[in-house]
Amino acid sequence: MGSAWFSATNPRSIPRLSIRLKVFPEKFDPSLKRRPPVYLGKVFNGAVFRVQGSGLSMKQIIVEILDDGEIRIETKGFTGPVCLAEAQFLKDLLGKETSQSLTPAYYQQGKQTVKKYLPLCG
Amino acid sequence: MSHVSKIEIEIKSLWCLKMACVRLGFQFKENQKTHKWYGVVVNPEKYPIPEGIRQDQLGRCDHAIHVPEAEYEIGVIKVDDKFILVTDFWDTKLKNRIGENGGLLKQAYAIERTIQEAKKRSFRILEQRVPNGVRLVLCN
Repeated sequence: MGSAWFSATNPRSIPRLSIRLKVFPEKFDPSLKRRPPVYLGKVFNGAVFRVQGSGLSMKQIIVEILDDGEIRIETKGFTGPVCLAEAQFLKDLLGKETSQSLTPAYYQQGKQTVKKYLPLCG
Repeated sequence: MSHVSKIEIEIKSLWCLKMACVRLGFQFKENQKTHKWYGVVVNPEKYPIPEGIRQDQLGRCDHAIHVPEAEYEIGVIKVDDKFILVTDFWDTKLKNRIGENGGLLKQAYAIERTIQEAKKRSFRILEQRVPNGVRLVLCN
């Protein structure tokens, strides 16, 4: 674990915190390739903490429970039909699925989007 | 976004229902076999008896939920593998506390049930209040 990189206008304003952040690991392990850091934008008392990240989009399952008891489940960050399997446990847990709508990301295979055409004429 | 689903809640976990009562400040009276209501069915054409329950079963339950400041109580009746909530909505204090058709109680139950399962599966959970409800974001 390395020390955090930070800058502050007044060093005395830096709080006494025991924070361990893995910053620029390639400095400690030359075998790792340098990856561009992901700036999380966390500012605390004038100190800016810069943390390295993977750059991958986070997979999320969003459950919205309305005040009338209706539940809406949305998946984000998934491509292809795997989103249905990932959210299935919630649907089994909470009740009966009354409707479902698929978004364009559902039809994405890897980085390719599959276009579906409807036969309108003939 | 990949897909969006709408779910109608079914109450299957008594423990989560108890936690929902704690969340809302209600008292869960386990094994109380009767719940307070008006006592007589009024205008059944306009206010039909819930499905799965007979008229002679009204007022009887497997457990009960007491809402502070309300006169009537909510009956919890086990039907097959799920629980049905039955109450007399003429009590406006009760209706205001649990929402239209018990929406707020169902919401609290769904929150507890989702959090319980998400913790078991090691999801990170973020709970946010949105204008018309609650949003839970599960990340892994």
